[in-house]
Amino acid sequence: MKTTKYFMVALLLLTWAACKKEDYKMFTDVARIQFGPDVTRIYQTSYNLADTTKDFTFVYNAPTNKQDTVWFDIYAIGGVSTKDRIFKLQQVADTTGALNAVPGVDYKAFTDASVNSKYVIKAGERNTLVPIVLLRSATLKTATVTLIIKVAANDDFQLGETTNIWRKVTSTDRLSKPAAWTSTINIYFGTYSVVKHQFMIDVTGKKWDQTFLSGVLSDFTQLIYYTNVCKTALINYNNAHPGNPLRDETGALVVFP
Amino acid sequence: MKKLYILTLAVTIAAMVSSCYKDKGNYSYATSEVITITGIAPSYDKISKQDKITLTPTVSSSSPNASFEYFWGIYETNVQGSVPKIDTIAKTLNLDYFITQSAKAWVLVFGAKNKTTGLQQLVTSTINVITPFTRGWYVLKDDGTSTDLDLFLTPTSIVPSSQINNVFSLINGKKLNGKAQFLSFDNTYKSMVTGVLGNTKALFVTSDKDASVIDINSLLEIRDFNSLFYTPPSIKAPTFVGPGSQADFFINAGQLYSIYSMSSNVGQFAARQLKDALNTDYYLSKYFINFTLANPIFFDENSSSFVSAGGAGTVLNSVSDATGTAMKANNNNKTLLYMGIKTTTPTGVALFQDKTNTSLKILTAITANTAAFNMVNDTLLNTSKLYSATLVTTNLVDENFIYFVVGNQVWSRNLSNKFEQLQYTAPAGETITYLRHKKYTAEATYAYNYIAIGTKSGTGYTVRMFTKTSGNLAATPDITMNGTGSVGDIIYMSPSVGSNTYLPTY
Repeated sequence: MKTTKYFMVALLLLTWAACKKEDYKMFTDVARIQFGPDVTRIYQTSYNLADTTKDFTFVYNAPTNKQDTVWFDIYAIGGVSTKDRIFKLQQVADTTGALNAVPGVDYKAFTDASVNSKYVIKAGERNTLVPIVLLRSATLKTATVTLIIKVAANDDFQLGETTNIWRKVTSTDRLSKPAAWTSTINIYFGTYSVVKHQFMIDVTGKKWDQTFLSGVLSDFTQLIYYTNVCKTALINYNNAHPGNPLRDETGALVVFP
Repeated sequence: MKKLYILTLAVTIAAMVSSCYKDKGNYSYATSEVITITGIAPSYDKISKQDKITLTPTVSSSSPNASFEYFWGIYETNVQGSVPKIDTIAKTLNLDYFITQSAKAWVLVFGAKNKTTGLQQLVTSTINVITPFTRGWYVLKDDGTSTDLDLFLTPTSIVPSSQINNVFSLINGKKLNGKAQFLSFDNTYKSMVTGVLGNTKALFVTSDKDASVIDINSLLEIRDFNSLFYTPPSIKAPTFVGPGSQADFFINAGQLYSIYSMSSNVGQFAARQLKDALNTDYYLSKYFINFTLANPIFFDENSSSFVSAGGAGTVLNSVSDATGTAMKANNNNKTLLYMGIKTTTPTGVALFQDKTNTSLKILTAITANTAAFNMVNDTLLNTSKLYSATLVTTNLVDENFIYFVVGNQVWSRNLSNKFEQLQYTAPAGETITYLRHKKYTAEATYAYNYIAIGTKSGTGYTVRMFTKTSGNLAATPDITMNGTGSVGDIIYMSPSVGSNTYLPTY
C-alpha cells in the first residue's frame, strides 16, 4: 500500500513537471546570405526558386550603350544588424559546355571598385538588390556567355540554403529567348527560335522582350490578336516563298501553332 | 489466467455502464418564428441624382414581444473581376434615400432582426437606376450618306410619348458615315467609362461604312471604328457587331474579328480570323445565325460554305454535314440571299440562289449543329411570292412563319404548309425599307411582340409596329413612329435588357 502511495506521488510529480510552457523558438544560428525572389513574393513558396536565371541581350540597346545591369534580390537570414554587412560573390564555371563570361570583358568583376561597394546589406536592412554589370563585349555579337554567380562565406555571412546561393545570367548581343517566354507563351507562339523572334519583331513592330512578353498575357484578346498577326504573316510569307518556307537557325520550320 | 478474466470482465462492465446514458433531449415542438415583411416591391426604376427611394415597410413576427432592429443595404449587380459589397444606407424601419448610383441594376436589401430571438428576415428588391437614355425605342436611320439615332421615349408604356431626334450626333457631335445598318446590345462590354475597367451596358451602332460603341447610360461614344480594333481594318464596311457565345463578333468587309469575353480584355477586337492554315480568302455574308449560347454560323460567299467561329479562336471552324442533309454545308454552289435565326436550338431559315442556275431558289430550314449541319430544302416555284422577295425576316421563336416584302406589300409564308398570305400594303407613295420581328418579354408592363415595318416617303420614315395573331398581322399598328431618313434598324432599350434579351438577326 505504501508502495502504491509512493508510486502515486511520483506520478503526480512527473505529470506536474511535464507541464511547462514551451519557450519561443529563437533563431540562434549565425547570419547567412542567400538569393531569393522579389520582395513581394518571399512568402509565396511557389516563387522560392524564381529568378534563378536571367537572360539578357544588348540587341535592343543603342549601339553606343556598352554596359547594362541585371539585378537579383538577396536576403540576409538571421535578422538585421546595426552595422553594414558585406557579402561576397564569386563566379563559378559552367561545366555544361556553355561559354563562360570573362570578368572585366563580359561583366564587371565583383572586385571592381565601381561595383564592390554595392554588395552590402545596409545596417537595419535584411535585403538588397545585387547589381551585375554586364559589358557589351565583341564576343556577344556571335555568342552567348554564361555567368554563374555564387555567394561565398565571409566574416559577415555564412552560406544560406544550397538551392538559393547561386544565380545565373546569360548575356548576348543577339536576339535571345526572354525569360518570360514560358510554356504559356509556347501555347500561342510555339517554341522559341531567334529567327521566329526576329520575324515577330518585323511583323508586329514590338520587341517581344521581357517587358513586352510579361504584359501580353494580361489581355487575352490582345494575345489572340498578336497570335493571329504572326500566324497570318507567316502564312503569307510561306505562300510568297513556295518551296522555301521560313526556317529557324537550326533548320526547323518556323511554326505558330 | 484468472486475473485476465477478471480484468476483461471489469473492462466490459465499465464499457457497458458508460454506454448507458439517459436521453435528456431538449426537443421543442413549438412553431418556428416567422417574420413577415410587406411594402417592398420587386423592382423600382429610379433616375440617378434626381430621384429618392422612399419606403415604409411593415414588419411583424409570429413571436410575441418581438423587438426589431433594421438595416438597408445596396449592392451592384453584373460585376466582373470583383466581389460586390453591400453598402449600408440606413438602419431605420423607413427608408428615404437619394439615389446617386450609376445607371444599372442594383439590389436593395432590407433586413429585420428580432433582437429577442435573433432571427433575421431579408427582402431584396431591384433598383433599376436609369437615365433619360436607358429606356425607349432607338431607330437607326440614315439620310443616304450619314447615319444617326432617333430615340422614342417610353416613360410609362411601350407606346412612345415623345422623341429626341438625332440623339447620337446631339451627344457626340458627329454622325456615322454611310447608311444605317445594324443595332445590337452587350451589357458586358469592357470599358473604362467609370474610371476602372468593367462591364458596360453598350450599344453597338453600325452603318455600312462606320461603327461606334456607345454607353447606353450617357450615349457617349466609348470607341469609334478605328479604336474598336488593335489594328483597324483598312476598309470600313461593317455588317454586324454584337455579342455571341463567349465573345463579341464583328464582321467587317466579310472578315471576322472577335473579342473573347470570358477573359480579361479592353474592348478591342483581335486580328481577323483566318479561314484555314493557308489563309484562303473568304468573304462572310452579312447574314448569320448567332446568339449567346452557341457558336455562330456564318456563310462564306467565296466558297459557298458555312463556317463557325469561337471567340478565342484564330481560325474559322468548318461545319460538318448531318447524315441525310438535303444540301452540303460546304462548297454547295449557292448564293445566300437571306439567313436568320429561328429558334435557340439553334435553328434558322435561309434563302439560296444557285450560282449556276440562277433561276433556282431554295428556301431552307437549318438545324445549325456544327458537327451535324442539317438542311431541309423547299425549292421555290417561280410563281410563289417569296421567289420575288426583296426583304425577308424570320418570325423569332413564335409561329413557323417568315415574312417578306414584294413591292410595297408584306407577305407571310407558313413554313409548315407553304401557304403565302398578304399581311400589309404600304400606303401609296411609301417604300418598304425595313422588316423585322421584335419581341420583348423581360418586363410585363413593357412586353411586346411586333412585326416592325419601316417605310420611306420623301425624306421621312415611318415605322409601324403590328401585333400578330397566329402569325397574321393586326389591321392597324400598335405603335407608329416617324422621323427623317430611312430606317436601318430598331432596338428597344430598358434597364432590363441584357446581351441575351434579343436574338440578333436580319
